[in-house]
Amino acid sequence: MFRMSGKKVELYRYTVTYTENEEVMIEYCISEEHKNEIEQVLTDKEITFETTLIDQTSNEWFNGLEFDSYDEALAVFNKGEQAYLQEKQRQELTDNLRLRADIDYLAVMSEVEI
Amino acid sequence: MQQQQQHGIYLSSSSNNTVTGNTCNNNSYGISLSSSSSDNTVTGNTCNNNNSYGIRLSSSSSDNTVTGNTCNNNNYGIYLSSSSNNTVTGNTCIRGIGTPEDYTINQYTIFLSSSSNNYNLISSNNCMGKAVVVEGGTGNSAWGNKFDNTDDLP
Repeated sequence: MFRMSGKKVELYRYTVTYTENEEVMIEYCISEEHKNEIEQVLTDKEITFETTLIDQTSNEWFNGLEFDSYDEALAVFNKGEQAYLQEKQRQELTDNLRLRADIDYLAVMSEVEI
Repeated sequence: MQQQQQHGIYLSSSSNNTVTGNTCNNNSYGISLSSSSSDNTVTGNTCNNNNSYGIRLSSSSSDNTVTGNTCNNNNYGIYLSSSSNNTVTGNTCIRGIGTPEDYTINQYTIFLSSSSNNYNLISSNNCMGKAVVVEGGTGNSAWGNKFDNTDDLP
């Protein structure tokens, strides 16, 4: 359970469930501060609520990552942490090889030995 | 429409309207499109200081254009719920009055709620104070929305 704020992933940490106008409402909160604020609003309105902690232990790797869209984020999330780390490692390796090739090319063109 | 009403302007199951040049301040909902309201244009309105939503599209409201409106200091500036294929561009939705001391953590600029909003375009809006929040759905495009003083648009 997460949301995107701009490009950034924010994991939901709590749900606050209450009933208003005979409709069950669920507020998702990204932090304790967020949860406290929702609870305060409901308390001020004298609305009873139930707060539940969401266990995100296995999803912490995903928190704070940046993507161009929710679809892209969801695809990475669904593949899981190992696939994400492998892809990240592969990308770093590719970048390093590309950098090395660029350096070699410049060395050859400028007749400098490295 | 500047008194404590439930809605400033409310369209339900209504299509092909143009809502323009209105001021809908200090209500619960400034302008609300609901129940499959489609192909409407909401432009050049001012919806400030509403305690729930500045502009709200809900319940399968689709193919609407929301552009050039000012929705400052609402709980949600522009809010989409179960609504698809809408275009939201060029609006100003400042969080609070624009400084962190003046807004709450539960106050948003543009918010796509739950996983049932699809294929909406959210672009080139002034969202100072809080980036566009997307809770789910597919095919939504949120880009070029200014939310802080950096040059880096999300």
